[in-house]
Amino acid sequence: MDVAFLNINYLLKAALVTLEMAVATVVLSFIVGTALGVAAALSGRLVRSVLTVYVYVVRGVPVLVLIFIAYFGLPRLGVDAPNYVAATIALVIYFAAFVADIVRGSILAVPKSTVEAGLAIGLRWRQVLMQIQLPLGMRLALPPLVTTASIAVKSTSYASIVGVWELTYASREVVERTLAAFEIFFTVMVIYFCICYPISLCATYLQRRYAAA
Amino acid sequence: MSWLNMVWGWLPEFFNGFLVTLTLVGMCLPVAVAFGMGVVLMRLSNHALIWAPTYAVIEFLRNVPTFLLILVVYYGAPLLGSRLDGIYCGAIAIAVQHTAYLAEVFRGGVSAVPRTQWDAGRAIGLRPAGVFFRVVLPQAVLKVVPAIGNQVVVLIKDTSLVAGIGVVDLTLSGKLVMERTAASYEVFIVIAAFYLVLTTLASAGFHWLEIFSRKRN
Repeated sequence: MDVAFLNINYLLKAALVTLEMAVATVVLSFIVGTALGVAAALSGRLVRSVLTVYVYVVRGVPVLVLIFIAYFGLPRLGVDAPNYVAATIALVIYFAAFVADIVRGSILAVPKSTVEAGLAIGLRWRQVLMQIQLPLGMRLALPPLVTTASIAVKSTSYASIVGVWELTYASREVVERTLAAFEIFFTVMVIYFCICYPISLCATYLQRRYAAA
Repeated sequence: MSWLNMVWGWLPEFFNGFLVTLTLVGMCLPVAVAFGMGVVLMRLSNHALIWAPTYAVIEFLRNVPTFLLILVVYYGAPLLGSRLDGIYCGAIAIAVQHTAYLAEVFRGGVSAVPRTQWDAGRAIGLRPAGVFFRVVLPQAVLKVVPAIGNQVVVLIKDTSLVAGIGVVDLTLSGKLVMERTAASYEVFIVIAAFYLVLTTLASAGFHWLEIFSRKRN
């Protein structure tokens, strides 16, 4: 494992890039996805069918293909974005669809009677939305959203294929230099595991808690 | 739409890549399903020496990126003295990770089967393993058909990662065509359409299976 210790600084520096990309992806896709999901849950057929098509397409296509489209497509649109920006944009487009789908489903899963009860005690429509529908819906959405966040962290490794220097790319560099494939890749897997496993545990905990409630 | 004409000319190229992707799915899926069913038995064992390591390995595999597993096999195989082709390296890594995913899916199904089914199986004289494979597992699988369908779609999409180790599958065939033509990202929209057809067929198949299994229940 000496070779892993020698390169740990390099790998941790790359892990930071992975973390930055993961945080950017999760934050942006949650904002965009929640907005889309709420809009689709509350508005008419048009918004809903647009979102359905978007979710359907994104669900059926690998992230890597979306990353390639963003990576080669952005320059053609006149946007001179660095590769990690292109990859992050693709990841946001991918995960926003999942978030939107989860949020929409959760808001619609709030029982109608709860909403009617709110209206019956004289709350305005806006108050029912802000104080009943959204809080209850988001509570239902939270466990699957946390699971999505852990998938997002793992998906940042795909960006290495278009040359983004992050943890997976750096580990590949080190392995090609040292030939210590097992030691280096195992170390890197442990780093990914240390990021993803707590998130997974959190999702399991939330699921149990809200399932009991 | 001149690029569309160009893409038309490269369809045989895409088709070869498509076949590689199909081959990968065909190699990984049966292995992952079969091993997943065996692993879930180990996961549910009463002996701590069996379930604890199984649990640890499953959780580890579920929480690391697929691409990293592919790289381990790809760079690791030569160190072990094997000159494995890239496509097999990818297939092994994807099959191993999806065994772990599917084992968790099956576990959900098994815990939804009533305890009385186990007792009933024992009462008619089956051995514990016989009860599991002939009584509990068939019911468990029927309960999680939609979840298996989702996982199969994820598997199809994960096969695109072999492009990262230079296997010319559907995704990489797109990149090769792009490099040889004036077309750019448009090629990948065609590739995306190919994947969409494949994943749609898979979901439709599992949807049909779900309806079929509901009717049987």
